[in-house]
Amino acid sequence: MRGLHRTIVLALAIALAAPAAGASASWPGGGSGSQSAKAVSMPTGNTPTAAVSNRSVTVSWTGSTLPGGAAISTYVVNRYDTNGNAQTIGSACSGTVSATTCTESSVPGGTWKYTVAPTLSNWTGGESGQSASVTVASPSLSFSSSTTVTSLPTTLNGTIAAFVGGQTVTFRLDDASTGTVLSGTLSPTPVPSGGGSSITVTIPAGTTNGAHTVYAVGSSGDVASAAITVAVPYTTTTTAWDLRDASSGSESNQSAASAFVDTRTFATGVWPTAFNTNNYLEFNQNAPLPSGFTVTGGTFVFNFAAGASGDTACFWFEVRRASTGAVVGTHGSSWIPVGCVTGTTLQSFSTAISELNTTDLANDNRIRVYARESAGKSITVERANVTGSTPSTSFTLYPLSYTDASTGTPATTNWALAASGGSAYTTASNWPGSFTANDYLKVTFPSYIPTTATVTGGTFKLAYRPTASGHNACYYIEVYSGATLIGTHGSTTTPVSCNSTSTYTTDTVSLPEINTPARANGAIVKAYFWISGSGSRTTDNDLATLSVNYQ
Amino acid sequence: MRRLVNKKVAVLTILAGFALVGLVYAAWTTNGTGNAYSKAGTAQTLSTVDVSASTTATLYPGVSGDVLVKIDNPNPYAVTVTAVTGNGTITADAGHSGCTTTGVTFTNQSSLSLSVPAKSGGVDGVLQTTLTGAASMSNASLNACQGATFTIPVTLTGTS
Repeated sequence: MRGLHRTIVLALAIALAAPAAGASASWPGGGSGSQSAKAVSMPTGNTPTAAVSNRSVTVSWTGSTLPGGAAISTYVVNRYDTNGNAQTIGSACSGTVSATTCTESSVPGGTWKYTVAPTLSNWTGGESGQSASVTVASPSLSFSSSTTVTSLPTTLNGTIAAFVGGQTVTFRLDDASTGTVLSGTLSPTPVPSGGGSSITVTIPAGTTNGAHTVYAVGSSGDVASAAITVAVPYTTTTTAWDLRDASSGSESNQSAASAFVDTRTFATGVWPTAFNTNNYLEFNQNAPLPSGFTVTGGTFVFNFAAGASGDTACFWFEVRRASTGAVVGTHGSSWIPVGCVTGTTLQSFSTAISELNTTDLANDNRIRVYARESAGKSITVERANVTGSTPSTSFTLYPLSYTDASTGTPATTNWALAASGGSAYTTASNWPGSFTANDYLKVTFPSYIPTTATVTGGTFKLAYRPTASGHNACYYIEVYSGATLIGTHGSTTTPVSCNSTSTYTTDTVSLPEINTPARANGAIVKAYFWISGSGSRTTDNDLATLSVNYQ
Repeated sequence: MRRLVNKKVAVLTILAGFALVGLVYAAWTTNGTGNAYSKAGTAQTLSTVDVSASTTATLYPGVSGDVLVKIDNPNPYAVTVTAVTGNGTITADAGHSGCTTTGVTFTNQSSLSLSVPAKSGGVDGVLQTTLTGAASMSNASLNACQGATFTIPVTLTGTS
């Protein structure tokens, strides 16, 4: 029994020992699981400082280090306005900055703050606090000359400031990108690093009155502007083609025959049946426009009819300079007329005359019409106008005179009221022996004043005399705007003037009541006459004009 | 009676010897991850203990960092881990869900000699060690990976 126990103990010992030895030699297994690694966090950037030099801002900061001490070498710089709105940052500070300073150039004018954040590959650390605010001046343009321009062209002196250095500068009127380029100078040029230069810029002829903006445009995109006011005084003088004669006590239309679509027409002489350059009809138009402006939409408007029912009349025409007779443009031809009318019903033809592109040409305009009439008769003319627009206003030109060379022999007829001398308008009836409310001459002036203009008064001129000797004619005037009486000059007891001679008296009457464009355009003057004596008591009226001063 | 008792002891001892032989056989024929190790009373695979909370931050883009591992040995004998091999996708902790591209790779470790103590007194033997420079982070690591703790699945290879 004792021997058996020893055997068991030994066996256990062997059994226990054997697995241990066996496991050590043969347990090649293992297991699975996981392990850990951890990433650091980026530090927050250090609050930068910012320093301004003209339009550049230099931003500097202390470099950041990672936990563990590794230095960070790249940063992102941001700019904010004072409301905290992030801005698009300019070159040298944009993107990733591999330094601890950068200079943002071409910074827009304004007050700005900067921040810095360290960055490493895709990682970005916390944004620093904002720098103290810095103020960058905006590009500016200022004039030392008066900014109220009263004559054209005028050269203004001034300076630009806070432009980014190195730019050349151009000047434009009213629109920085599409406005008229103005001649100007820059000194020094290009703009030095300090951002300032002296400038001159010329406001050209043809600049409309009113508020304008001059832009200085830098070659790198800087834009500055300054307001100017162009207030060139102009005087437009025009006669009236609309004449109503109430010498009898009731109005009759005595307007110029070729001015309006109305009952007033004139018949030319007889025309050949084929076009001939010696057979023409010329209209010299009035010159009411300020010089130096562009004209657009020039159009010749011609209303006419053939001499008899069944006849056909045709025309073509030339645009000429009234002063020299030089042909400016030709419309239609002997082979291809501009238009034809069969019969005696008046028809209107409007033809674009784009060559009439300046007010100087418009003020020196003559239209020569060549016509033919199938039966060799006269034609009837109702209207011969030129219309168009300046930058400020539209206009209609009326004939001061026409020359009828339909027969080949020129004969000129002047509009009676257009100028002193030459021809006069004799009233249709005798004037009464004392002033009455129903006996007057009424003239209505056309519209040439821009609606935005400042009108500073008008002047009315009237030339008259008694038709027959031995009479004394007196008159006073009323001025109307539409149906509204706006001024009276002279009176029934104190006439503007009286004339008992055979020489024309020309009166110049100041009309301070013509003080707005609305009052100037379409102004109406009624001249009330009485005449002494008996027999023929008409008057000859040689001139009626209105001059309007405006800016 | 004593005689009978002694006979039973002998039988049990023999059975125990067979059982151990069988265990050794099983160990030779598995990779240490099979169910054979899950039986009570048989050798068991190693596992790891979560040590993410105590991991030191050393990674950032462009550098290598340390890996912390804590190996649990449920066997009643010491085990020597000779290799640690990555075997799965490395992921960031739940608090860094935006870190979808970690940029972290694990360099397989071999020729190790990490001795994990035997289970003793009902307590598994554990070994916590740092695998210096075993992980690296590329520049592809997303910004959201800052401060993240990465779980690196591994297979442990060892001998006992």
